Amino acid sequence: MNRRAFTGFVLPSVSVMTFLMVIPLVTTVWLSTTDLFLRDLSSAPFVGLKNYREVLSDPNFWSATRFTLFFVGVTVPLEMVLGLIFALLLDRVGRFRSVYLAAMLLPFIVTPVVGTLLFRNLFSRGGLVSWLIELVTGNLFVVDASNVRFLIMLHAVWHVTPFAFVAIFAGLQTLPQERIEAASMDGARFFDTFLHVTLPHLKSVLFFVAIISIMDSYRVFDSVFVFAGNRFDNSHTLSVYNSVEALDAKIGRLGKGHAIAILTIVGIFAALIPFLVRSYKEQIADRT
Amino acid sequence: MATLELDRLTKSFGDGFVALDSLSLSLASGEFLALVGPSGCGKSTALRLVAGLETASSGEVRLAGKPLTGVAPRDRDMSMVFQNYALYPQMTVFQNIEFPLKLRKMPKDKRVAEVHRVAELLQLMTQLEKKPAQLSGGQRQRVAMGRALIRQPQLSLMDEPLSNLDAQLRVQMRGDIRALQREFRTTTVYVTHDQTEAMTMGDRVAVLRDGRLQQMGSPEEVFGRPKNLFVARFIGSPSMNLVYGQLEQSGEENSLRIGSQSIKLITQPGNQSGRLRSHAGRRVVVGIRPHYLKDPIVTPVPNGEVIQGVVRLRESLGTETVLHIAVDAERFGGKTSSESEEVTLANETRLIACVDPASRAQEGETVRLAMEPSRLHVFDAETEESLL
Ligand SMILES: Nc1ncnc2c1ncn2[C@@H]1O[C@H](COP(=O)(O)OP(=O)(O)O)[C@@H](O)[C@H]1O
Ligand SMILES: [Mg+2]
Repeated sequence: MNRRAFTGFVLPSVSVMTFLMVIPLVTTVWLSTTDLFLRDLSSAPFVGLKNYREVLSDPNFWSATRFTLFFVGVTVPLEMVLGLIFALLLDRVGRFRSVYLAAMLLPFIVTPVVGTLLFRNLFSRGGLVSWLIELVTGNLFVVDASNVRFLIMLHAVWHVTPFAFVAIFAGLQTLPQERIEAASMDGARFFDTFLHVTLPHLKSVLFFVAIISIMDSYRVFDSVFVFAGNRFDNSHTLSVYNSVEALDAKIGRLGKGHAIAILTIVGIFAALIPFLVRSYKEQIADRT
Repeated sequence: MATLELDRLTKSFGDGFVALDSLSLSLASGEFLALVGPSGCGKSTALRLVAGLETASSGEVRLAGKPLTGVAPRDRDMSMVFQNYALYPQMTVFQNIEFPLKLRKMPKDKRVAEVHRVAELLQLMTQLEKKPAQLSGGQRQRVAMGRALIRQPQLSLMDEPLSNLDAQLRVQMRGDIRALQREFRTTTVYVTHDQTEAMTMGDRVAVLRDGRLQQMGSPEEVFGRPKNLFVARFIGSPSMNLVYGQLEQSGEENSLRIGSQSIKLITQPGNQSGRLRSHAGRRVVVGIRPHYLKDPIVTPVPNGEVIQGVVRLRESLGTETVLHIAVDAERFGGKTSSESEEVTLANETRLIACVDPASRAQEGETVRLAMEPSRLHVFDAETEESLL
């Protein structure tokens, strides 16, 4: 391919990327070094690293970071294990496959806010689940600071498991039947086959699901916002903390908000480093 | 090392399609059976039923006399080599071959010794640390063999294990597989669509067509005394010449009228001549293998019968010369014909003769071809069964 054709093919995507990613990113970095307020967008005085110092010494930031990491650490493995189990189960089902498949995907298809509201209603006063809990325990059930974290994570699992499920299920469909049969001829029982045939085959899919889920959960916002809102600070994730700091009508510190955003991005990369290193090593190993 | 019996084994799939229809056969301990037939005739289905990977609709498999109905594949003590090898991609060659032993919880040092023994046999010693993706087709095939050999099962199953290899390697591996099988004396069912492979490898050959067993016997038997037109055409290369003829009888003598010519038919006394007699005056299909048609000028055939035709094409292969000869006869093109081996290109009947290269027969010349009457095959034109 000559240079001009190459440029012609690459230019559209490069310009779109520049417009949608590079410019906002650079702007964010710049704004994070200014003291921009929501009330007055006309002046953005340069303050250096002041915002960063402030964020890093804000206990709310650390509380949000802790909860975000906890949230990622609990929900991502759960989603993947559940997705794997459901995918393995559906793989054994012969009849009405598509019906089960559609049902499984429902939480994923529903518009996030609608799903979150539905979920909240189940647990609010008069909701089905809170009614059941009251029936069983005899105590009144109220969403409060002690259980709201649990609810947020439960919702995340409910909402994201279908994604893990459908990706893993698709991965299972590409597993050659012959390989499973070879294992059974070799004397493998169900668990041996799972460990030595199924799981190795799903490795790259699981890897992909893990990366996407981690990035996704790290930025979780809507469910936390709906469940906790401004009430339960202890269950704020980084995104919610960010929006509270940046967009609150009274405080509205956009400069600080941008600093939080930059720190969040850095955090996601840090969380993904082990995965990226592994993927890189494997690609190097495959090439030899 | 065990006997194997299939007893009216039948498999029909969900849509009612019968892939295997009442297959019965038995193998002696240590015997090598080549199960052969065109693609889609049910060979793999038969093998998978024996392995337990598929459940029979009816009938039974018995290994060493014990019925296997309801026994899971892993408990059948059989090994199987798959057409696409089905190796475990994330494992090294060593781990692939070791896997069956590992599952049987054999101690590590014994496993290593076993793998090395088999790898030595299969010339894989230098490849042990490689992954399957880094191997050539022939090496992968040998790894699959190794995995099947290592635990010395009672029965060894192979489903077209050589079909993905190039021609030269295939010939070499044929010999290697047979040599290994003779060493271990493992009863073996070997599936192939290649009749040459079946004939060269099998102690016995079973010919399958549309899920039904056509004939089972030694390679000499299925070649020399095919039971029906399908077997006659399928076995042997080039394919048997087949033309329509009329069976005529005068006294004790049978003769065949082929077009305007007539040849005598000699049958061994008492040899089913009743079947022939009952077909007197009827239309039959006459068969002769290309190698049994000779040029009498260079290869005299005492007491031979003669058929005459015009040479249309002469192909010199060095060790033999192939003549395509147009004869006055009606070509048999029954439903068993395969397009590629069609005897005639033009709208005339041609016989193929593989004659001695010394033959002077030239294209366009009228020649006489000689044959021993005992080499002739006669089939019922309706039922396609052999009349001899
Ligand atoms: N699972 C199945 N469902 C329906 N038909 C099948 C199935 N497996 C095989 N068949 C059919 O059975 C016939 C025999 O198949 P197979 O045993 O694989 O043939 P071969 O190995 O001799 O080429 C084929 O016509 C094939 O289409
Ligand atoms: Mg097959």
